[in-house]
Amino acid sequence: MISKQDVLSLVRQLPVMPRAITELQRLLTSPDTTVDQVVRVIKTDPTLSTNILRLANSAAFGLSRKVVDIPHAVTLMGFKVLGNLASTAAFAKMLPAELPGYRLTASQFLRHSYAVGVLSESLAVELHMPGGPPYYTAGLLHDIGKLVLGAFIASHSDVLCTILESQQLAFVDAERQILGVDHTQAAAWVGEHWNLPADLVSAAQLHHQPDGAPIAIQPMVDLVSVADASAHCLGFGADLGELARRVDKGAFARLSLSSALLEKVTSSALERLTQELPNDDRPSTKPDNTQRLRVLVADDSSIARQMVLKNLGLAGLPPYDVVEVGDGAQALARLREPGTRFDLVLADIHMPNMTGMQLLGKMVEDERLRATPVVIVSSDGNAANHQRLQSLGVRAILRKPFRPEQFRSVVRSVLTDLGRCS
Amino acid sequence: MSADPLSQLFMETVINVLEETIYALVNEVADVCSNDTMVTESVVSFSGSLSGTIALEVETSAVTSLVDDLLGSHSIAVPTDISGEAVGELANIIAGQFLQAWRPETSDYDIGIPDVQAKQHGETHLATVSQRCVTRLRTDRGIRIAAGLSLETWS
Repeated sequence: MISKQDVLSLVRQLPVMPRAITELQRLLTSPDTTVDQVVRVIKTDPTLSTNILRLANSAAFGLSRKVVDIPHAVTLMGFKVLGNLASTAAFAKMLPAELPGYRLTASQFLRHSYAVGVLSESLAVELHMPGGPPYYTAGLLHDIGKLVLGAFIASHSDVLCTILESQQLAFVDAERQILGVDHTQAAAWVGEHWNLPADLVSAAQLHHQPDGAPIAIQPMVDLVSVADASAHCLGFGADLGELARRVDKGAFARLSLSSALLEKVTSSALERLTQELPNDDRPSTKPDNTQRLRVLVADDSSIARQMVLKNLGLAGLPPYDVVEVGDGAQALARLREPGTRFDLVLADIHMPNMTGMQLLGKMVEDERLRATPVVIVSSDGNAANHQRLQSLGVRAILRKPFRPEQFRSVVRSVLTDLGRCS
Repeated sequence: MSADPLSQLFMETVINVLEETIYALVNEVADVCSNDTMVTESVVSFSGSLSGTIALEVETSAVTSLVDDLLGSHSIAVPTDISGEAVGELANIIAGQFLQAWRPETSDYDIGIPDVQAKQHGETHLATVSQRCVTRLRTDRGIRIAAGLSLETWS
């Protein structure tokens, strides 16, 4: 069992929601907001500006001329699309590289969250619910409690799998049984940390038990609850208990939904989601297969991790599984998980919290990890750093930029030495 | 082409890095973005026997194409901020490669974490800070990229 203090200590480590996003959400729900006000807020956040211009120039808008300024982009998109984009971009930035315990990468978690957002909004439109409330954002953020609870689940994953399989429990019930707290309770603490509006927090907190919602926010809670269950049924689930999910009967009745209407909404949403989320990267529900190679990729840049993943795919390796993490501390935690084995660690040197050099030092001190090969992938050419890495037993240093054949040669050579590749 | 050795090496490094990472044919061009064009710029500082910054600038509307070229395909279907990271990652690689090539015998440099911002071209580091050399390029897929080297000290 864990205490509220245990969870709060992890909540405080989460990044803070950018001020421009919360300000934008406030502006976009007000009927008196002007384009100029919105543009002023957007321009204070470079990442948001980039994402907005990128979307304005994407195929979705089909323009022949480039959109190069923010006012034009805002006018083109309209406030609703803009609000959804801003929420998604900010939320994606908040995510760690993975959610241990739930066996989810950031993209898998985002995939489910996005699906629930789209379904919430589609249901609201179909049911002619009043405009204004951020239905999409409520759906997008419904599982924020998992961002902190995953760390605790990780150390109980074997028990969790057993309970889910033997008792056919929903994931949220299994969380409560093992930890004494579930991700909906944790959501309230994350929401407070992010200074989210009360209706968004309530939707996250009550989406598994919509019957208890206050009257004023009951429709939004019901909507998110139905959207979440529908996303699971459509195959856009994000936890091990997804097959045990059912649409809440009370929420279904209060929304005056019919099976035909729900089917209509889910069919059209499925078409949209399949187009927008083409890669089926749903989480594996199978236990680790010790015959497959296991590779740990540690880099604070998601682009750099993607580049490593691309090259792993071109290296002609035996079947493998990859775990991505964003810094050395997360890498060490994964390496030290009981019953876990990795055949190769690919790490950057410069990372927050714990560098690749410090990670290697910790691994050398740990008898269980000493033999795990580490390859450093970095653009750092500092000779003193390289000497230090070599003294710590690094297997290879791959300097960027590298060609796929160089990557392939280094990785295969290390794995061949281990007898894991021929 | 009468560039001094430092400028020549910088330009060759930028071209080499782009060719090795985004598999593009790159040509030098003379045209400059208008000051109000939105660009994504990454600035990387470095220190050692040569100290200064390297800045890399890409038109914001072309960053998605750059990510596609870098990774081979769309790997994340919903909007994220990884596009800016792509410019930062390229700037970082250019800095590492250039400094190693300039003084391979010492390699005593420390390279900072890339700072990435979207802003109008007229407000960028590249446009507002005196540059030792600037390279303007266009890839064969039409992406305009500018890179600049600014030096504080060198020995």
